[in-house]
Amino acid sequence: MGATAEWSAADAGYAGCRSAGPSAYWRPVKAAAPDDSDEALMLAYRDGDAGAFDVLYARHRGGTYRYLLRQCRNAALAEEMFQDVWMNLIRARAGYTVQARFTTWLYRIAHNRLMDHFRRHDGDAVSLDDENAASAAEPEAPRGADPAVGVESRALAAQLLNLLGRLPAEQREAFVLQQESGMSVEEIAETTGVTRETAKSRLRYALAKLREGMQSWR
Amino acid sequence: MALKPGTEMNMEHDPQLADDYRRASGEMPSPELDAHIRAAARREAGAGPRRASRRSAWQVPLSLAAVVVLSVTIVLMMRDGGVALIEPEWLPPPVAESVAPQGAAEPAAKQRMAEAPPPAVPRASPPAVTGALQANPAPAPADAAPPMMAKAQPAAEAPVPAATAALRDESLSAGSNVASVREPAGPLLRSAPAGAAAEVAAGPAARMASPAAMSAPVRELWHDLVNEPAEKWAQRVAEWRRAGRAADADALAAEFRRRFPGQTLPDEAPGR
Repeated sequence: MGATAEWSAADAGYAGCRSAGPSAYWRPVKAAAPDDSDEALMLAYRDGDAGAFDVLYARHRGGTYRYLLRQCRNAALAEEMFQDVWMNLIRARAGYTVQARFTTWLYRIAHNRLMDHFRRHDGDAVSLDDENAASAAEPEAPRGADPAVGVESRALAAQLLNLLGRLPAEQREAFVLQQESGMSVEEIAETTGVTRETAKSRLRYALAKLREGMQSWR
Repeated sequence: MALKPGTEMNMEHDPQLADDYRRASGEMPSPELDAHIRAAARREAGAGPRRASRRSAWQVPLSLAAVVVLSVTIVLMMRDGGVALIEPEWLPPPVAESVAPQGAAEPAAKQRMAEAPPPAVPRASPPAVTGALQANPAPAPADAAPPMMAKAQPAAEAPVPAATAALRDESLSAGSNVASVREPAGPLLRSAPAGAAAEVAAGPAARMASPAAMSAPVRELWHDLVNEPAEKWAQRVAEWRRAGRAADADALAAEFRRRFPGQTLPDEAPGR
């Protein structure tokens, strides 16, 4: 392996997709070679290749962080849980075997960490009225964009995140998992520990509410 | 991330919402946190890589295979060596009187008869044998094979004749003296070829000094004449001298003088 991580290329290998048009949105920039798959990289890291971990981390650091941030809506808490998730992954590397997609395993760890937090701090989750939460969820303006367009984009992003924050946690989780990791309904169900029908229902409700909320902004 | 094929795009995926979400979500963990996690990952990777267990994945079976092969080899070697220990193949060759050189046999026979035990227990003199072997510590010849190889030779596998078996019984029943001859010799010398080669290297004297070789004619002599008068002994001595069996005749004469101290043989000078 020995590949170096490029932090600027968030979600390495897929960053180019985000600047492409909607039709190419979920298509990777280049077909990943078998040795560059998440699973192969994790196996390489299990066998002692630290460079493989760097590539994996570069690919998934943004997604896992935002997943945690959307659910707890507190930047400091999200960073704390983010660190726990990756440290758990590092500690569990010795027993890693390819039984499912790496992303399913990674987000399952993150989901469990969230559940632990909610069980211990029942009701401590930051509400939408919390100013810190609002600032933490403040989206970044797209780089290089027109200032006028940037203002509009900021407002649009703030509206979407506002709507997302109002969703029930399960529906929000289903939507964020789909957007951040590209999971299918089945993988969302596996990650969150529910049936496929439940996951499908949550995702549909989330999309319907977000569409309805964003209608006036388009 | 690519969506799975078959996803119901209208109901479970909205490209416009996805695009809006992509633009809204630019949050990243802090660089300090990134550095901390990457450092931890490197520490773990350097602390105990799983490659060690991958090495042991082939080291353990290899070690087991080596142990099995070694054990089987040792068992086979011990089985062959054990046969040699329990049933030694080294047997004293029977002495052919016509082959034994007279000149070399005479001194040994005289010494043997001088140290011979009483007639009731007719045995060859073991110290003479021991001395002969020790005086001629013939090294194992270059072609002396270890027990496993020696067994493969036809001579070692040949059936032992009845007379030879009887001699072996005599030799084994001789007790610790014979054992003392054999024990200093290593396992190589216990094999038939090595023993025979050592005997050849020791020369005719050693062959005559062999306990089995010494005991056969003397025992025959004593058994015949043990109850006979002195005249019969003298007659037998004279017969053997005429027949050219000088060594045996000398041995019989020595026994005659021991048994009948006051008498002399007819062909002996009075001062002898």
